[in-house]
Amino acid sequence: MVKNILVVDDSQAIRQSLGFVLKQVGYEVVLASDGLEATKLLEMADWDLVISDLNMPQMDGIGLTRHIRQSPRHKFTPILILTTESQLDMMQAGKAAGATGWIVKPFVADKLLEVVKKLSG
Amino acid sequence: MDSQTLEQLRGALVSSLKGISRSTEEVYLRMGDVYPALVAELDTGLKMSEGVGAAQESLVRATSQALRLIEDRDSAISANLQGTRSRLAELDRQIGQLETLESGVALIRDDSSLMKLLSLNAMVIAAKAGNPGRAFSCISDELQRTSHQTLELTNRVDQGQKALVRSFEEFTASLVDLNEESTTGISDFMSRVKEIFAGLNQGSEDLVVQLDSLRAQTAEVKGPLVSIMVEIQNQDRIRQGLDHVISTIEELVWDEGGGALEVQLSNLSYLEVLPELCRLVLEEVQDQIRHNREVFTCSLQTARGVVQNLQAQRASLVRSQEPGAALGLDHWLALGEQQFSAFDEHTQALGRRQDLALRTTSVLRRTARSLVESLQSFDTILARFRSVGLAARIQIGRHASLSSMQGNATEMTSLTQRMESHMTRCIGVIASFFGAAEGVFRSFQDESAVQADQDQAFRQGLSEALSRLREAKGALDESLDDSEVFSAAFLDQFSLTDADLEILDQLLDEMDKKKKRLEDLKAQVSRIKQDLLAAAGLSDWKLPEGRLQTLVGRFTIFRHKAFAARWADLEIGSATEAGEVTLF
Repeated sequence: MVKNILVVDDSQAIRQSLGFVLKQVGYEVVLASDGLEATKLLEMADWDLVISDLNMPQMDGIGLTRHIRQSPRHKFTPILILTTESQLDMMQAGKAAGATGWIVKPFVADKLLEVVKKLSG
Repeated sequence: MDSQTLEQLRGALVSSLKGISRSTEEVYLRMGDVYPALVAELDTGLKMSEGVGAAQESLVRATSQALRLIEDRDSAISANLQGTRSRLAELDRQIGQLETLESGVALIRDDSSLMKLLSLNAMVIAAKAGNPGRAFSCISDELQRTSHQTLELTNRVDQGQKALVRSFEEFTASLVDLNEESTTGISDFMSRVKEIFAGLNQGSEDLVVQLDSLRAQTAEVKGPLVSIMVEIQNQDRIRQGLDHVISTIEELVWDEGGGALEVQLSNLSYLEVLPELCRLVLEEVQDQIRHNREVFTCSLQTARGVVQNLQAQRASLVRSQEPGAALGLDHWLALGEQQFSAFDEHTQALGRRQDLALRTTSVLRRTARSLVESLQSFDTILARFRSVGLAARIQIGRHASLSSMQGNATEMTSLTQRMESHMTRCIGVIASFFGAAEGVFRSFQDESAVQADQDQAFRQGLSEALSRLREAKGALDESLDDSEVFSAAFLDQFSLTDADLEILDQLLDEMDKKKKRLEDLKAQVSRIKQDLLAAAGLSDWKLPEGRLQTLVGRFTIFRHKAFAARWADLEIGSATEAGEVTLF
């Protein structure tokens, strides 16, 4: 069965690149440009994985993670934070908010796909 | 340096860096828009050319079916030929039997000559016998006439038999010729067609191998395109880097007028660090762009090289399959059609000749019948011999002077009986030959009708096989067309990316110029600071950490924070590597 992945990033280049890499291996990918847009999309379907940037306008990745964890529908949906932020204290903040994992940009396609497969499977 | 100049410089740098950021973004996003479309086009093209295997299989199937059809026809013709040969052997045997007729007729002729001698002898005796002999001379005359007629008839029968033998020999010779031609024809056709089908199969296999190779190489173009798409993501990092530079430049504020010396020195120390921080971050951004540029260039070169090679290979392949090209599928198919058509004409001509040969059987029948009739006319002659014999015996009984002819009369009766016996045997031979020949003729006619049906079915089958071959060839041609995966727009995109790479080069140059201006600014600030320090009798002034900490606190890239740490003891913590995945 095709897995649905929600990609949230304010960078169009990240959305293009990440969306392309995921679609190439058969994932169904929906793109959102910030946390707020993502919250609307979240209500419209079930998601196998959410990959979100950290620093975004309107609602950042931490805020989105908290929002998702509070939603009964998506309480257990895996969330990967994909960000240029590589500091351990930031990662701890992400973990505390309920993120499942953290990837430091730029992503390495093989590593990313490996973890996506693991989490969405 | 005054505050206004610095403000102007700040404004110019910020505006210029925002422009660089925008231009960089445009270049990356343009590639990000186009390359997925190219990959999709590539995937579609690859999917379309997947049918080549099935097309080749159907061509091989069609050639095998046609070969089987020809082999079946070959076997049927061999079986027919076997039948024809045995019937011809039977005819030969019968013709041999017919030749025995000659000896039978010769015996009749000999007896007729003896009968003629008897009649002469009778005439001499009759002349000597006086009056009684006169009546007998009429009988002798009749006997002589009948003997003469018998000799004529035997000559006629002899000629008829010879003509019949000759006609049958001609008939069998024509059938033997037909058989030989048929055998040679099918054998030549089979060897040519086998060669053609071997060529077709080999040609289609070669074509498929080459198309598969084209497909495999086409798939290789995808790798570099995917690499470009993965690299596109770095625009985000470049934008953030430039944002950090802009944030830093916006800190470049200087109030040359006032404040305490400590405040001025703290400000100058901060201002002194900022251009260098900008330069380091800009260099990192430049390194990133250069690295991306290298990946784009290499990927583009690889993709372009593969595409150009593929196009050359494909062009050569297309040329090899053009109508008229030696050893192309068209060449083999045209040869096949030529052979089928020639074979069709050949079998039809043979069929017509066979029909003609079989029609001559009616002439043969007539000849045989006339021979039988000739032989049957011996009956009349024999009746006359019997009548003459009876008349002779009556006359001999009446006249004592004719008693010396008693022996002649007995001899005459004996000859008549012998001739009758010979004639019966001859008629028997003819009747037997005629019966046997009739059977053989009927077999030939039946076989000819079966062959005509078989020929019709064979021609129909061959025509269908050729249609299937044409269809399969058409499918292979389509696969060849489908192997043209790269549209002109596809290749144009490579040239557009070349232009984008030139834009990146220009942006890198622009960044070099900004770095130079920042270095000049740093030198200016350092000079002012050194003058103030010297005036105050101080050797150095410690950088106030708070403002730098606040500035780098807004940075989203750890490495950029780390740059700032070389001037102050900042709290930047520790970090993981780019690309690292951490699962909680």
